[in-house]
Amino acid sequence: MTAWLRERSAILAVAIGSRGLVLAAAAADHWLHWPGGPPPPHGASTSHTLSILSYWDGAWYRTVADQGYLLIPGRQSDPAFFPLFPIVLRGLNGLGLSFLTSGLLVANVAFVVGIVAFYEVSRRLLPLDVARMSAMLAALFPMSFVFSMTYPESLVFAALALALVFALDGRWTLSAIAGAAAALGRPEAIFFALPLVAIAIGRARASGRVAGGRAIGAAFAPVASVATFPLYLGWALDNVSAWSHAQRAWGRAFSLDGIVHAFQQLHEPGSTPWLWRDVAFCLIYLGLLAAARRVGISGPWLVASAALVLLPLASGTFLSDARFGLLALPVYWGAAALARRRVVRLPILVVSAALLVAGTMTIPLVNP
Amino acid sequence: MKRGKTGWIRLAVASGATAAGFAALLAGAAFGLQAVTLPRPSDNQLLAARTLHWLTAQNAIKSTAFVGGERVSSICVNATIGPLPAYPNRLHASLLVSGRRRLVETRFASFRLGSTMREEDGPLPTVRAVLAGCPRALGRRIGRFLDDRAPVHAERVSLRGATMLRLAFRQGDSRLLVIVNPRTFAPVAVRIPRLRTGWSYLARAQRRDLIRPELRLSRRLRLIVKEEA
Repeated sequence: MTAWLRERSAILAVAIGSRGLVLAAAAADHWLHWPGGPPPPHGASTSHTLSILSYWDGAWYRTVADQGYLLIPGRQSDPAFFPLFPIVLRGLNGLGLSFLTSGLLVANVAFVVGIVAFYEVSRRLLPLDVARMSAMLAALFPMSFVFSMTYPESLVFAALALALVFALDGRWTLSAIAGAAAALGRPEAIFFALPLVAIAIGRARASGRVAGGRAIGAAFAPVASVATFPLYLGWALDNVSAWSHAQRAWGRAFSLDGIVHAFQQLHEPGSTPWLWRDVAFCLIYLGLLAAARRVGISGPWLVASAALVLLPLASGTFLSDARFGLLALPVYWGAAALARRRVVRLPILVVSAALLVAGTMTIPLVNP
Repeated sequence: MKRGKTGWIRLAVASGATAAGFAALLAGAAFGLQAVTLPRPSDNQLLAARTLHWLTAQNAIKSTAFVGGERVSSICVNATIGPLPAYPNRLHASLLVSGRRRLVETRFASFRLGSTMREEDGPLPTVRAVLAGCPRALGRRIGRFLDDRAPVHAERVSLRGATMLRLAFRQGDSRLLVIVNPRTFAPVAVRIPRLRTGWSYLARAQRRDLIRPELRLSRRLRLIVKEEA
């Protein structure tokens, strides 16, 4: 156990340290009343030192945890948000913790677990130095402040990494449970059915046998899990399409020409300049995926990640693509591959940390 | 050990069945988790959401109210307004015509239309739009109650010999009564109890209602206000 911890101590230190940076920047925002920004929507609290980490979608997850789902036609409503995070919040609230405390606790603890699990995935696929660097870069990634917000991203990141590491070890039941949990947190997790299938087939080939039913079942667990959300909404709200109706009210409607609309939106009068941050990260993610290919990351991983980054654009906007791409795990492998040379390693880590702090401080200005 | 063709098929079927069973088991657990842990909205809140759904599909509503013993008819049409100096983007609006009075109501501001446009202060324009059954104004009012998950009380009432449902919304000081058709969920009457107003009776506007001369705007106003019906 001590040896296990010693090997991972640097990664744990960076993961915990990065959360310290984010929490400190959020507290500084609160104390300095800077940079101001519009009042938080939908009744988010402003009184707590770390309130800004519960802004934007965080307020909606809290509403679901507190009162459940309700589709309100013609208005932005909560069936657009997947249920895992609110379920966990509700559970902890039942134990006496406030929604804000529960949300921050879950998000940050899950992130540290997720970083360690991600390192475990990485070291099974890549050289040890690249694996270690990719975990550190994931912890300090500029947009990773989202992992400390009361959003489901950190929970999904941890569940995905665990599903993949269990699959790589051939522990299919655990992989299935983690994969199903990830997909109940965010629908993008279903893309990782692709590498899971590839792992199942790869392991079967290596042993000279056909892939077992449990392995295939585990690979499809995220898909099965995602399908239960519309079924649940059908049962609770008498409307199986409540999720897509709610998405439309949030300005997201998937269509064939969605990507064209996403580009058109960039030049529309009155569109927020923050969209360009999402565009920049979209390009960065694609570049890092190309770099990941150079260190030998296989097709299914890259296709799943590219889909995760590009498919949201089909909903007609780049909005939040910087956040969605955070779950594309091979991105961090690509970044680590670029940072392999010692000369660039430290500057990349320092610049990432600085951008992480800056990103945290902009939370009141825009929904990440 | 070598397998024959039948052996491979048998193995593939067994694997497929195990995979499907395993995934189904997980899906069942995921569904159960959601069903057991998350609260469901009340049946009455779902009824209110259906009424809102009906309203969002409407472009024009006509209404009749009795004010001081006099019958007042109105028609309300969805519209857009803008650009205005304070609001550079076009805003969704309701164009309400009662007799000769014309009012444009939006979420942010209301305007009285004469030969020119004048901003109207206070909550009264919005109240008028709600009582006239303007799809956007009434929808917004009901939506706000649902946003706050205000309790909705429903009871059967008889209106002109037909059985209807009366939905009562209450949140703090704010109250709203809406009578809806239980089959279509279309609102047929609305009242704001706090204002001690009577009921306004609502109906979907017909084509002939939309050619009323009061709905015709001057060319100058048409540059700013555009009807959607």
